[in-house]
Amino acid sequence: MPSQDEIKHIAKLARLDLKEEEIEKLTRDLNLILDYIKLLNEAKEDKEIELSENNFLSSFREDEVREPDLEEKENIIKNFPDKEEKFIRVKKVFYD
Amino acid sequence: MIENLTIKKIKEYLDKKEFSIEEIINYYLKKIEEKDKEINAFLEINYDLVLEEAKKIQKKFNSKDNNLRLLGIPIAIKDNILVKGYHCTAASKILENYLAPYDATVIKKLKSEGAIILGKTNLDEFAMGSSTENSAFKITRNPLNLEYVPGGSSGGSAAAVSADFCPVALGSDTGGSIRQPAAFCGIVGLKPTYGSVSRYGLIAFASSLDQIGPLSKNVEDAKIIFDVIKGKDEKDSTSLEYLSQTDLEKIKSKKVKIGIPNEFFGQGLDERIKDSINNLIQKLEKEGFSFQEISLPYSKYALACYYIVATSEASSNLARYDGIKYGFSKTFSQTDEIKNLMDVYLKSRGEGFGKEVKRRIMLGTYSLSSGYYEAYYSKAKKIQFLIKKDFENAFQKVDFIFTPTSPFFPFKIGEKVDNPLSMYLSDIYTVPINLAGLPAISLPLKDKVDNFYPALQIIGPHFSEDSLFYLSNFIENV
Repeated sequence: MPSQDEIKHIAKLARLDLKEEEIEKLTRDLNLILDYIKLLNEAKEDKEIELSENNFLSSFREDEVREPDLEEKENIIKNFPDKEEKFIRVKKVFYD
Repeated sequence: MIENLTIKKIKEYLDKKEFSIEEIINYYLKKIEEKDKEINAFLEINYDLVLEEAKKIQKKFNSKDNNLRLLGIPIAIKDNILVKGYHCTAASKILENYLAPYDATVIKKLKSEGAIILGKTNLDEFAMGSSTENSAFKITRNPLNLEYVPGGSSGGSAAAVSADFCPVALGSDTGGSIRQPAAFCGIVGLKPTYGSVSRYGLIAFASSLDQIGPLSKNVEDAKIIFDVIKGKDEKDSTSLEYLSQTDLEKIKSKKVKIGIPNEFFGQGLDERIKDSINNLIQKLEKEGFSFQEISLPYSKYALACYYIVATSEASSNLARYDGIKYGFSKTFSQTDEIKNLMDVYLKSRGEGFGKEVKRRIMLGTYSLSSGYYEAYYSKAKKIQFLIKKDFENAFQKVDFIFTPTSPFFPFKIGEKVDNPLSMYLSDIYTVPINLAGLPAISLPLKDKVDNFYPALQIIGPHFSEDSLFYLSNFIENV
């Protein structure tokens, strides 16, 4: 059952900034929920189980260029939070 | 008499020229303007855009280009389905100002048949919830009794149809999010077979479970909408060519067997709902249908299984909301300095997501993390396989399965919002169906209890929607 430290680690993995009260509450909530989920350990798996479930035929398309809808492209650019012309501006990716 | 119209009734009025499309649309818009401040079904309506559309569609109607199946029919759309020209917020602060760049495939299909999009309806944030109380913006009230929840996550769509703001609406269902609010609001809701309706343009929650489906006042309208939106879409690689698996002759002759799984009628189910379903079973037996007790032994693990599988997928699907490409972005702050890219991610997501969403992302991340993957995610997938097998075995013996949709009647606003586990139990009868990818319809039964109606869930084998519609329609009229 996760401790507060484990919760802090998971929050970092999930890229979520949590306040102290949030961490406390989430630790309690997750412990409660995971306690319920322990139920799964009771289930017998003595039958043949296939984890690969899809009988779908390959759904890939041909590797060919398809021109984008220009209006759609404009609309996508409109949604950039921080932009310069048609580029997204981000903080530097490589640290010193 | 424009009240509680269905698609059929609207078409009749239009064909007989008793009303014009604009008059019908104006009726609904006026009603929304007057009554939606009490109910809060809608997040966004653009009155000018709607009236413009109505004029265009009227022209089409007059020009005899009127073989379209939904010409002039207004429809409300859950705000996790992209409609160009509107925001698409998923009821989240993180997408509060996000403008849909394109129409979802289902929207394209509805528009091509002449439907008029009325507006975007409220939901639990990112479709995570069973009461619509997790919306970042509004709390939707149940039109049958305003102190109660409309259910969730498609609570806005269910309330809109129930309040007669529109004849039909679209919702999405991952663990019961169409069926349960339909039950709570006294209307019909269908979750189609997984793969039968394109998810292109649906904001993803759990991609192997999500399906878009109709909410309506009657079964006939649910079928009309389903027939328009179904079908393979090359933009959704999980969508399939819809090949109806139905033996209508068999149902018409009532040579079908209906299974009653004992696990779904035990402890925790409100006696009045149980009695109502039993009354229906007796009526149907008199009509010649036969019933059989069955068992779905692994169904008792379905809720636990769902909360691992769905949250794991969600933790992956919601990773894209990072403040970079769209949505709420925290790149500058007066107090906490946003020093680097990691801070942008942490703060944008920390501030932009609501409590329930964070809870589920955390649960999913935990289940998939190193050291826990086998114990949680792998284990849940194995149980999912066994749950599916239970249904496969059952459908060797019976043609349909009857269960309650919800174990209880609607609860009051605020009653369960602080107790996540108690809220999760709302979906106990609906989640097994998503895990198995099966189609299921929720029907309101006639024995009213206070303001509400008990609801029956009918489950069929994959691609048996036509049979479900036939049987449901029969029950509506019995």
